[in-house]
Amino acid sequence: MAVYAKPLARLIDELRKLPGIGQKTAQRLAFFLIGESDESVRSLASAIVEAKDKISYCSKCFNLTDIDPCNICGDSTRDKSLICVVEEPKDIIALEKTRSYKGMYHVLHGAIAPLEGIGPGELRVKELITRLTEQVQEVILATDPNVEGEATAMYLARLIKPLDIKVTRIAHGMPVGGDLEYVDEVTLTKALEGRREM
Amino acid sequence: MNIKSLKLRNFRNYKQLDLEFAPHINILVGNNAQGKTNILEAIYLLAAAKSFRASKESEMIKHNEISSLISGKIQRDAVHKLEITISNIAVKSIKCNTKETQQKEFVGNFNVVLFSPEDLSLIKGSPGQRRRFMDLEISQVNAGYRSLLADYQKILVHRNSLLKDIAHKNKYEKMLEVWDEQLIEVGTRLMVQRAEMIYKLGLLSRLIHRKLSNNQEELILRYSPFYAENNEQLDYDYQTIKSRFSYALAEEKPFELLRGYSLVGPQRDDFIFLINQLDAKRYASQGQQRTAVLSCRLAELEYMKSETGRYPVILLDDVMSELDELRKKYLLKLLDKKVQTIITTTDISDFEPELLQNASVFFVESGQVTERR
Repeated sequence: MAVYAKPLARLIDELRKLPGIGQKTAQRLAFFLIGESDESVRSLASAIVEAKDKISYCSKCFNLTDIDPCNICGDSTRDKSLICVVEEPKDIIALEKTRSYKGMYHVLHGAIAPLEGIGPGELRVKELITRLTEQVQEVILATDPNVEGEATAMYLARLIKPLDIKVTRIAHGMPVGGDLEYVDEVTLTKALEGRREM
Repeated sequence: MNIKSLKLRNFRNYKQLDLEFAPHINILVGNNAQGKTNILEAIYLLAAAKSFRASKESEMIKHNEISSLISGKIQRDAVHKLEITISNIAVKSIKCNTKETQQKEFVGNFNVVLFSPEDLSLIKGSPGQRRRFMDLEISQVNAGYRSLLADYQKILVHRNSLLKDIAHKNKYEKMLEVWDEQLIEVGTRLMVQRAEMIYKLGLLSRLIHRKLSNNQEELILRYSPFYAENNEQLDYDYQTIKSRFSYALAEEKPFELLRGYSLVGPQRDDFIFLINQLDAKRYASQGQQRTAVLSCRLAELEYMKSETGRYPVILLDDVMSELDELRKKYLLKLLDKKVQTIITTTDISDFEPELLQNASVFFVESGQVTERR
């Protein structure tokens, strides 16, 4: 059924590959792009190509960057004795927005998941271990609070502790500014378990 | 808690059905294969978001129709509207008060206890059926349990896939330890809750069973974790379970590595019915088993009341014909006062006239329901 002209069909198909985009949205985006001026479409296309060409992984922390080492690794004011381990580059963005963390990062690019065939070898674990020189005093494990993230954190803790470096796990618990009554049972249970003395 | 009204569109043999239920006893009368149980199935669906008998959801859609709607008004403190749409062409939609809701948040809004002739399988059937019973029971009163169970299943598939890998490559991986640790931790928490539920349900069942059996029988429900031998009575605090679990895991580890899947854990749990100290599965008669299950179901009512503060709605599918006079009498006495009951029967003479006076009676005939006036 050739409803679309061929080039249009190809565009829709390409757009559909993007995360969160289904057939309808892809079609909407494609029609929008066709309706745009030549100039703005070329600008979008070149932005995609340029980003792909220039962005690579930082050789130290494996965050996305256009310079190596990245802005964070190259910043001399940051605390080099602290490394926060995260699953994805977007986790760094979230942590940076807090403006309360001044240490370094390390991106694993995933979490341990045997079912998907992802073990430590598929993650940037070896690279993390080589970064643990005497300068490093604490490693903060900020992997996601689910089964895979928990397994990854446990694995790293076992690996790093023998090196005599402090290993910590970010706390699970209550969202700030929320009402206690609206927190789900699982989170509340974790928050109770992780309570601290005042 | 009770169900005020039920609306069905293209569900099983009903093209269109709108029913209003009485707050106490509701009797559905009709011959076989007229659609009595379909009404119970629809009500059950509103509580559990899944059927107690359909293996495929599309079975519940009326023949030659595309989609089916099940909607009910539930009286709790306020009235809530629950709605499920099953379709051949789209995913199931679940709504609570017209808002699209996730299954795990939907279940628990409305609680029912179902007693049907197939219930005998609770005693006779496989351990898997009893595990499902435990899981459903606890999920209905504790939402945290459901996500704990989901976590456990995830850990189990990851661990199994790792074990298979190890068996395949014939080399031991240190990675297994982090999954062991999570398996034990999450598994232990599941087991603590199962043990507690069976303990509470057991106490209640025992009292009820004494009355139902005219003090002739002593019913005991006993949790039987995967490491139990010979139906022994064990302690089920967190520490004890955890250390037994760890010990069993260490023991079985070589075999797990060989076979490539997990051999220990609550996925192998069970619980047993003992009547006068004997295993009911093997030594009890059909009638004894039926009474034991009925005691267990009635205990469920009290259990849910104690955990949630409200009685669930009880659904009785064609049970009157299965019980002797004494048990029938006791059952009706029990139901008369506090719980909304929806009961199906082929023979209205099973019920005493004074009970019928206070009940709503519906006649069910090939997909049509008429209320007695």
